[in-house]
Amino acid sequence: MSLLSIRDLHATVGGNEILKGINLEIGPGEIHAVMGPNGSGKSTLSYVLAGREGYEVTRGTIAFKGKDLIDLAADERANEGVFLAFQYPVEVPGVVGMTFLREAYNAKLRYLGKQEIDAMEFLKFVRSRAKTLNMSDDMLKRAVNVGFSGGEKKRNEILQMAVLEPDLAILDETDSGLDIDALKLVSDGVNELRSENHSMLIITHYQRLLNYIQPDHVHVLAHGKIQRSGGKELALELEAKGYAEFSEEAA
Amino acid sequence: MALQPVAKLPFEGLIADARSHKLGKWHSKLSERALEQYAEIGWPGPKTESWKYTSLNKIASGTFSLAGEYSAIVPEDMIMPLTCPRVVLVNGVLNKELSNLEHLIGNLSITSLVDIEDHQKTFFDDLFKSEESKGDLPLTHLNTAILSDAVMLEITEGSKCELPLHIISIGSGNGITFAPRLIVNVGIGAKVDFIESHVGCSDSAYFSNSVTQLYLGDNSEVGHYKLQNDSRESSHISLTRAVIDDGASYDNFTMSVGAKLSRNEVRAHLKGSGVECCINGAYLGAADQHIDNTTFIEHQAEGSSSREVFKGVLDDTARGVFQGKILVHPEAQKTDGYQMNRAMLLSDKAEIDSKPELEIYADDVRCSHGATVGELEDELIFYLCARGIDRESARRMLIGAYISDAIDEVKNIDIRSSIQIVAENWLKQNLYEK
Amino acid sequence: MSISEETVDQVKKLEADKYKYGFVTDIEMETAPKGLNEDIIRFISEKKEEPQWMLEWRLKAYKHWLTMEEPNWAKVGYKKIDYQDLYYYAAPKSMDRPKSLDEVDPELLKTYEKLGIPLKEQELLSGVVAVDAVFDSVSVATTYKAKLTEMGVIFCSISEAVREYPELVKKYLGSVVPHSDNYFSALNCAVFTDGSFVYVPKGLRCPMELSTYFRINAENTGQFERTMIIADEGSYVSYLEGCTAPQRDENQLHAAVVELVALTNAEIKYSTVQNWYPGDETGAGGIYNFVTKRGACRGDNSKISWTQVETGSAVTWKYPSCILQGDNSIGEFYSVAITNNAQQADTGTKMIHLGKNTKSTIISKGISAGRADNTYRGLVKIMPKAEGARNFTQCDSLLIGNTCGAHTVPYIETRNPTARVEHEATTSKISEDQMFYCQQRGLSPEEAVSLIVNGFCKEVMKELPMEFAVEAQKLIGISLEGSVG
Repeated sequence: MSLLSIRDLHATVGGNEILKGINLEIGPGEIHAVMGPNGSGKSTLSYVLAGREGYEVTRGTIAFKGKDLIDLAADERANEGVFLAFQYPVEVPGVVGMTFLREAYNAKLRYLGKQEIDAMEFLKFVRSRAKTLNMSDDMLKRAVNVGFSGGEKKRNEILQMAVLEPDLAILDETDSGLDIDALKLVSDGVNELRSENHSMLIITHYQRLLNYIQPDHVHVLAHGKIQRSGGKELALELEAKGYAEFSEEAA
Repeated sequence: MALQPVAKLPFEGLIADARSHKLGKWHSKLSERALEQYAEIGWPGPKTESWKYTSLNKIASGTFSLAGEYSAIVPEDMIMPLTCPRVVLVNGVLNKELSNLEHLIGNLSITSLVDIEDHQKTFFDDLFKSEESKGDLPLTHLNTAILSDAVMLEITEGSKCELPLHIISIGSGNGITFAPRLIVNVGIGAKVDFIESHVGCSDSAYFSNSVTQLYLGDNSEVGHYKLQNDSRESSHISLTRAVIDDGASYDNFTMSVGAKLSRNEVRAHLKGSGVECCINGAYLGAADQHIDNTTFIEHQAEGSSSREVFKGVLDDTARGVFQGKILVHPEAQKTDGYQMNRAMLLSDKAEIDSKPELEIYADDVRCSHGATVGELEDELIFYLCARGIDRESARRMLIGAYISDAIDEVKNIDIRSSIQIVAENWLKQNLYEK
Repeated sequence: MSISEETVDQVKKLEADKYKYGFVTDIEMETAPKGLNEDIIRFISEKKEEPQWMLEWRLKAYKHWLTMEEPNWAKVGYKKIDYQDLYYYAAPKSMDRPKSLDEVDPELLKTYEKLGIPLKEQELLSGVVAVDAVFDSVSVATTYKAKLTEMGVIFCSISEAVREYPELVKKYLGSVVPHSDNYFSALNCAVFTDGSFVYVPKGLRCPMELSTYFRINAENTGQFERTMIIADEGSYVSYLEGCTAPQRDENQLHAAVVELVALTNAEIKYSTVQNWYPGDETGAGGIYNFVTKRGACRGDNSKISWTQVETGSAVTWKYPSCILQGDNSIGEFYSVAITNNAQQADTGTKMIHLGKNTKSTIISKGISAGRADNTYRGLVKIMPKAEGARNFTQCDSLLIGNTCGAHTVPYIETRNPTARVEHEATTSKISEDQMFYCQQRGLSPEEAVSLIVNGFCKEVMKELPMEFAVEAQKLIGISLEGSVG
């Protein structure tokens, strides 16, 4: 059975239809890449999946672990196991990273009807996760994303992902604004988390992230629809030919 | 807020005189209405919040008569140093001989209340009426009640005035009071810069109660710059009120150096959205001067921005007052408001009182204000001295730079330079002589 | 600060004659008729067995109060108070006490639970355990009061202090907030019923946080409370007031006075969590909290620090202030004020710099939601002799929703050229991005608001003593419930 099953998904933002019938199946442990030109609806897809207000589904279904996601609020979806690594992670002044992450972790435990974790135990857990990712947990001593460099923000997202252990992680343009060293660090982290329990949806404009994270499937999104699907070789083809084939005229 | 009326209403006696004075019967009705409102509100007393830091007792207890003389010599060294067309008012009345209006372009018209035809009177009546019932401004009503003239500038729709216009208000005579009144009506998409220079003849001690009303049509662009350099024994109380429509831009700057007691009150009502409004100023006070800058910016519609930068330097026993209020209505989402007042005290006996105020009813806004007071840092002076500059020059240079920060806000480059000259002259006169 | 089960049981067992070890003298529950006149004041004074000078002081204050007018400059509106329609001494209280927690308003219990208040304490708070039986839960303090006495700390009710330490009281009472100071403080001087008195001797660093209250306020002492803290040379004391649990009171008007005196090298830290009943959603029935709090840094190098978390009351009118007389003295004001629904708060501080090199810091965080109005009003005054004085003020407002208001009204008066005064204020909102980000990490909208607001208030929250901090954090979330979504 698919972990995520998207059928004929149509969505509007501010009255404009951006997604015009998306079909996508993601199985457990699979890594899918959605590529596409600017304005194709890539980020919209990630927001629609995460349940951002103002992104209205007008038709179609999103089933996650067999459950309909559409009527769930953003926090409920998160607690079901959908994680969005933001393209532009948000600053939350005054809220220390560790506190933020513990609140999030406990919210999930509560949602699942489990006992909350105490602060010391959580600290140990986070340290161990950070270690596997070869990251320092220093970032978590500062207010969430406040004064972080672009690279730090993205790494912070990956660390949060590692701690919250989602069933499905959506990486929205995680490679944007990263230099090559940061890109490698982030990719290593993602690869570290790769397992049959963790599926990923990587949203990207460029192919270069896929040099580091090998996808099982690649999809081309343009004009609100998936135009083509294939294996990782499709990404290389796009790198060579660009998106011209999927321009307005070609469609 | 209820004002505390004082038993005696200052200038009440003069108002009746004013009616038969210059404008004739038409003005009488206007004056009567204004008197009623003025009497109802009363003279601002010590308990009036908006006059908390500026006492008008000396004016109220003084003996003043109405000006009767409307000619004078323009004190060239006191006005803003700038070559451009002039409109000269002496004791509040337009003096055509002193004015030079030849260079004005056709779409800018200047009307004196003294000259208006009967059919224009309704228009002015309405105009004055629109300023009524402004409860907290008794001195505006007093201005209307004792008017001897009013000058209206009109810039027709879409016209761009290349040269700025210089309005010079001269006070002449001891123990007199007068009420300059300026009305500026800027048509849709029009562009104009104008300057007000308020100056006095030699050492006249007078009370100038000045009012300027502006109406900015959609997408108009107005630069409004003022030099307050009244005689050192005089009192200058002024109100500028600007009503600003969609997409217009208003750049206001006031340089206050003159008068013994002065108040520069600017009230901007941002009626439209997408308005850009700047209310800036600098004040330089010495001896026993009292300089008050009071601003009120009202954001009524969405997406407008306002910016205020004031800087002051106060020496001897001078006292500075800055009161700035930003009001954001619930409808005025996406407002961006910034306000800053900085003051430097140069003497043990100088004083600055500051009241920056925010009143906000919309949640999607960015508003901030700041106020700082500090002295010249010894380390900075030392740094300059270490480069071979003598202490006095170093001090003057640094104070000059301090004030320049505010003057740099002026958008019109020529006028900015003129204001800079005024500041430098003040520094030379006041900081070298000690 | 939490009360252990033991102490609660212990208190339950207390017999009337043991109250004398507590803070409050053995008062018979007599009521005086409604209204205010000299006879009522004589009655209060007599009941408290006060000396003649105390009665005279009260009467002087009363006479002055009669000449004063209720202030109207604050940005608050409320129904006119009929001062003749109030009880000034021992108002009758309801005899129907809930027999068990099952009979208590479930809403109240829910809040207790959210705050993590132990069951035993819940019983105390909700009145299942008679407050008379505890009669001033403060008697719990008996145990550590002995320890304090040993160290020379005087910590007792102000009535007791008037009798036992008249010289100290005479010397300091009204020396910081004179009877003529303002309308509400004058009223308090005339009719104050009780409160606490603290004297910390020279050189002593008081090792424990002092608190009169634990959680329960004795009925009738809360309304016109009077607190006086004197820190003698080189001493230190930290004092906690109020509690995080919602407090209900029959008396709508509260007009307390707090006076602090710090002598040379002394330091007083005064922390408040105020959570009086805010009234229902329309604001009906809430408490009017009109408090005068002022501290005098009399000696050189002294320090007074106010920290407050104000979430309750229908109307709050409160300006904890510092008079910085001693050279190098320091005044601090850290404030969080939250208003929701129909609440109104007009709060801030006054920092009066008189001495050389005096320093003050003001950090104010105002949060407004619902239809509430939240005003910061503050004065920083640098007098001519305050050479080298420094002030830093930061006032931040956060608006939640579009029907509330946030206002900042600072007065800054500087009369010394060497002073450096900095004031900054900002107004912002919780951005939609922040909400989505938190929700995407699994937090509910309420949790997200609570977290973001706590982050916004962080600079103030970290000033709170540990005992208060955790609960105060929860309280912030609770008081903003229903403000989003």
